[in-house]
Parts: sequence; structure tokens; C-alpha cells
Amino acid sequence: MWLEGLRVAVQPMNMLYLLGGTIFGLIIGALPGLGPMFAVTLALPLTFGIPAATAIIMLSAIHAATAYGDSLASILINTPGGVGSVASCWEGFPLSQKGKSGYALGISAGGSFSGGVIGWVFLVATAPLLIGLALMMGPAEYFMIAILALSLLSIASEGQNIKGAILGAFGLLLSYIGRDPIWGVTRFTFGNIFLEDGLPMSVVFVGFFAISQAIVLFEKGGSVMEVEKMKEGVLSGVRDVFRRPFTIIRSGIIGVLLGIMPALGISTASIIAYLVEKRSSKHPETFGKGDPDGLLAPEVAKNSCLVGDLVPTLTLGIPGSAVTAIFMAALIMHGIQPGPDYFSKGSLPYAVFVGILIAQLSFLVLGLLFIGQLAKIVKVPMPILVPVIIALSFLGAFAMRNLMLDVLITCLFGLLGYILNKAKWPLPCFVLGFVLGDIAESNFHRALLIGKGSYLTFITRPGSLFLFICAILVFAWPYLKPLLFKPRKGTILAEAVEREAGMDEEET
Amino acid sequence: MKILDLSAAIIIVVVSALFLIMTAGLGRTASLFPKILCITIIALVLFYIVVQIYNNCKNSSVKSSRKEAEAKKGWGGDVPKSGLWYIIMGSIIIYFGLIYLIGFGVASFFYIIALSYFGGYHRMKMVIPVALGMALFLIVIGRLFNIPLPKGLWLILL
Repeated sequence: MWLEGLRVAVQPMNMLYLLGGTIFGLIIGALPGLGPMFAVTLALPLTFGIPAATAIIMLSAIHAATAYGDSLASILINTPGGVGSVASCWEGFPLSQKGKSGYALGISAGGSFSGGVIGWVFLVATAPLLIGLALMMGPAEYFMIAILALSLLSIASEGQNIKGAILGAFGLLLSYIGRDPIWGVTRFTFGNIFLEDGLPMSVVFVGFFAISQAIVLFEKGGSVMEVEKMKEGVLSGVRDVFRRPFTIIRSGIIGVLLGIMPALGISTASIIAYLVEKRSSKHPETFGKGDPDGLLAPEVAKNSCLVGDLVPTLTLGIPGSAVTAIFMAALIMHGIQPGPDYFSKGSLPYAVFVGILIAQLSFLVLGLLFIGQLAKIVKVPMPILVPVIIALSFLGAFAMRNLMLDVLITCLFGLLGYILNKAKWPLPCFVLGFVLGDIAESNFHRALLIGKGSYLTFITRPGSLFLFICAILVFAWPYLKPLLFKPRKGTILAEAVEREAGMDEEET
Repeated sequence: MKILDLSAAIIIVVVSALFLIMTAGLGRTASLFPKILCITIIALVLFYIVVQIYNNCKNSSVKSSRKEAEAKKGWGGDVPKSGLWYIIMGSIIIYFGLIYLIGFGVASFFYIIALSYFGGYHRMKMVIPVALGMALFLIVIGRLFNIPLPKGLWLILL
């Protein structure tokens, strides 16, 4: 069946649509704020008149290429192409400033490809097992996952714990604008019906990062690249990806696991992968200054999450995210019913699987062919680049819902982002809070409703209790670590600690 | 405490206080999380301000070099001295208004030219083709992807 699927997938017509889908996805992805959701929705009507396998292969290509294209703007101009590539800005842009934009784009291409392949392998090999795991998760476990993820605030705050906590809480608070997830009561909308669906994530992030960054860049002047010559090319970036197998595996697993769980999408996966990578790194002090590991982790997690999203969609008929819901609609429209007996429907499901794998390869090849030229954007003078960024950000903000209100929201968040950026507040904390707000609140109330109002429901379920203990350990780790691992006398670390203690005494 | 730090803290506290007042009209379930967060934010910001003021007092009593005294004035040294910040914020507001008046594509064309000029880049041979290309790109993307970009009042009146 696999061979039959491969034969169907590589037919010239399918390959042509795959190529078209990849180019379309790369263009949409590179535009600020427009991610896979926008691209797949836009392409859905185009699939009506074409065969099922071709349609799904094209959508897979668009899906994968948009996610990869999202990172281009993040790396080159510090403007997130979509909600999933916010974390890519944090290391990608500093690399561009050092003249390593080609290298960063190479890491992004290789990382996205590796993530897609890891996700695909999981999808094919362990789908039934992963589905079993996902089905064991109830609202109590989802709430605890959100708490566990929020415990990463201690890493995201980069030592500024109070500021980090304030911004994390503020992000959570702003995510509650709109309808409450249980009773549908509108909150903090000021009577505006367009706010009832909440603040659109991409609109907020475009303002928070793209507009604020545009102001910072305009003030800075010159060009993005702070050095004379460009260093290291795209291929060296791709090569470096495969020298970091542990980062790939770690982030790939994070992406897949978060992907198979409904509601936890690429935005959560990429940020968590980044923070986990920072925590497990031997040189966390280089994060934020252009660390290749820090760029690779979110890139891998993002694409493995995208493919992981398809696991519950195809094998259970439960879409893992809004994008896969559209995917599922396309499958049903073309007569393929996703569900437990998905694989028993001839060669078509296998063709779809092969198509998903080829889609990963196609954006890698196309990316490698053209991104070398794109990397030169970093040489464009700021007075030209900045208005272009702002115009594209306005387009991205407007296009999501065709509302000028969203452009206004982008501007307001741009101003807020600028002030916070200049005052050196840890912006990733806001993102973490904003992304996790809805997941935390809705699952908390659902768990309570299921547990008939008893808070014990959070600790009587083994999965929930395990996650709760993990969250407490992560929260307490910075305080426990010095107690558990005291530096031995005579070592460099011990000398440094003693020196610091001596300086403190002198000051007092 | 730097002015920008204080501005950020004030914005966050004002929004949180406003939301806290608004939670009074909500049910128990709908208001639980927002209420907890608003109170937490306000408490944390107040704590942060107190800590900053305490640190400032402590530092100024220990050593007060001229450089530090200068840093405490105004923007605290974090913001460049130029007025580019005002130019770009003002330009964004004008651009937003222009989109309503003359449409997305045309407004973008003029915006790119104007901001490049005020940003100190006066090579119009370079700027005009970029602005024109960008305006055309926006219009083409709008048409291609069916995005109803604002056409502007003048086109509607015509």
C-alpha cells in the first residue's frame, strides 16, 4: 500500500500542485502575521475541482511551507511571520545582526525539515500509541500542562523575576478579553462586537514585535547587519543542524507531544521548546545573543507540532487545531472520512502520508535555492526597510479579519511593546501568558465541572498529579539547585561564588 | 527608577485596575481568573515600584557620581536623544488616517517616501521605485488573496 501511495503521490500533476503550494505557502508565510491558518483557509476553495490526493498534497505543502516561511521575516527583520515563529526572532535576528542571516536561514530550513520528518515518523509509527496518550488527558491534565508551561516563566524572565511575573500575568489577563469559555459571558470588550472573539493572537504579536521593532530599528539607523561582511552561508547552517542531534530530538518530541493534544498549537510548542533548550543548555548566557541551538529548537518544534497535529485529525477524526480542522473539512469534502479506520481506505490515505513527507522536502529544496538571495535584505538601509515592515504589518493585521480595528490593535501593542522593550522588560513572558491564558482557564473550569466542584480532581488523577509535581519542581528548581549542587571547594565555580560573596560584604 | 520603566508599570496597573472594576459585573466563573490576575498584577507592580524606590535611595546614599545623576534624569539613558521616536509614532498615526482617506496602496506609497525622507535617506531614485513596488505588491496581494483592502474615501466618492 505504501508503494501504491508513493506512486500516486509522485504523479506529475501532484508534483506540480505540490510545487505551487510550496511557493504559495512561502509567500504567505513570509508576510508578517499571516500563518498556516490564513494560507490553508485561502487555498481550500481552490481544491474543489481537483482530485482528492492532489488537493490534500497541495494543502500539506502549503501547511508546511507557510510554517517555514513564517521564520524568514522573524530572522531577517525581527518580525514574526506568524504566531508560531515568535521564538525564532529571539535568536534568529541577533544572528542576522552579526552578518549570519544566511547561516540562520539555513538552520531554519534544516530545522523545519528535521521537525517535519520527526513529526512524520511519529505520525506513521506511533500514531495509535500517541492517540492512547492523548485520550488519557482530561481537562485537569490540560490545566496542569498550562501551569507547567507557565512555570517556564522563571527561565523566560532572564533573572528579572518580578517583571517576568507581571508580564506573564498581564499576558494571561489580556487573553481573557472576549467570551468566557464556559458560559459565553463577554468580558472587557467595551461593547465592541469584534472583540467578543478575543484579541487575535497574530494581530497582537505583529504589533508587539513587528511594530515595536520597527521603531527600534528606525532609531538605530544603518542597516540590520552590524558588520561589514556577511559570514557563513545557508549550507553551513543546514550542516550545523545535523551536528545537534539532541536538540533536534528533544524539540521534535516536544513539538509532537504538544501537537497531538488539541488546543496546544505551534505557538506554545515553539516557545516551550526554546525555553527547554535554554534550560538544558550548557551555555544559557549566550541565549538572546544569537545562539544556534536557541534558533534550532523552536524551528524543529514548530514543524513537528504541525505534523503531530495531524495525528488526532487523521486517526480519530478530532482536529488538533483550527488549521487541521480545515484540513479535515478538505478530506471530508473529497470523500475521505478521517477516523480509526482511516488506513483501510485503499491507497489514498497512504498517498496523503507520502505527500506530507514530500512537502517537507519540497520547502527545504525551494528554500535552499532562494533564501540565499533573501538573506541580503539585512543590508537594506533602515529608512527604507522600516516603512516597508510597517506597511506589511498593517497588511498582515488587516488581512486576518478584514478589520481596521485589528490594525489599530496592532498599533497599540506596537507602542506597548516599544515601551517594554526600551525599559528592558522580558517580552517572552507576555507571549507565554497570552498563549496559555485560554488553555488554563477553560480547562480549569471544565475540570471543576467534571469533578462536581471539587478541587481534589486536580490531584486525584495520576496524570494531573504527576504534572502538578513537575510544575512545582520546575518553579522551585532555581532555589533548589544551589542547595542540591553545592560547588566543591577549590573549583572555579566555588571561587567565583566566594568572590561574589566577598564583594557583597564590601558593599555593605 | 527610569521613566520608561515607570510608564510600563503604570500602563499595566491602569489596565489591570480597569479590568478589576469591570469584573464586578461578571459572574463568579467568568470573573475568577481575571480577578485573581488583576489583584496579583497590581500587588506585584506596587511591590516592584517600592523595591525600585528603595534601591534608588540606597544607591544614591552610597555613591552619587555625576554620570548616575545624569542617568536618573529624564529617559535614564535608555532612549536615544534624537526625536525619531516621535517621528515614527506620529507617522504611524498619519498612515493609519491616510489609509481611510486615500486607500491602502496609495497611502503606503506616500508613507514609504515620507518616512524614508524623514529618516535621513534622501536618494529618491532608490526610494520611489521601492515605494511604487510596495504599493503595487499590496494591491496585487489584495486582489490575489481576496483581501478587501480599504480603497479610501476619494474612490468611494467617485
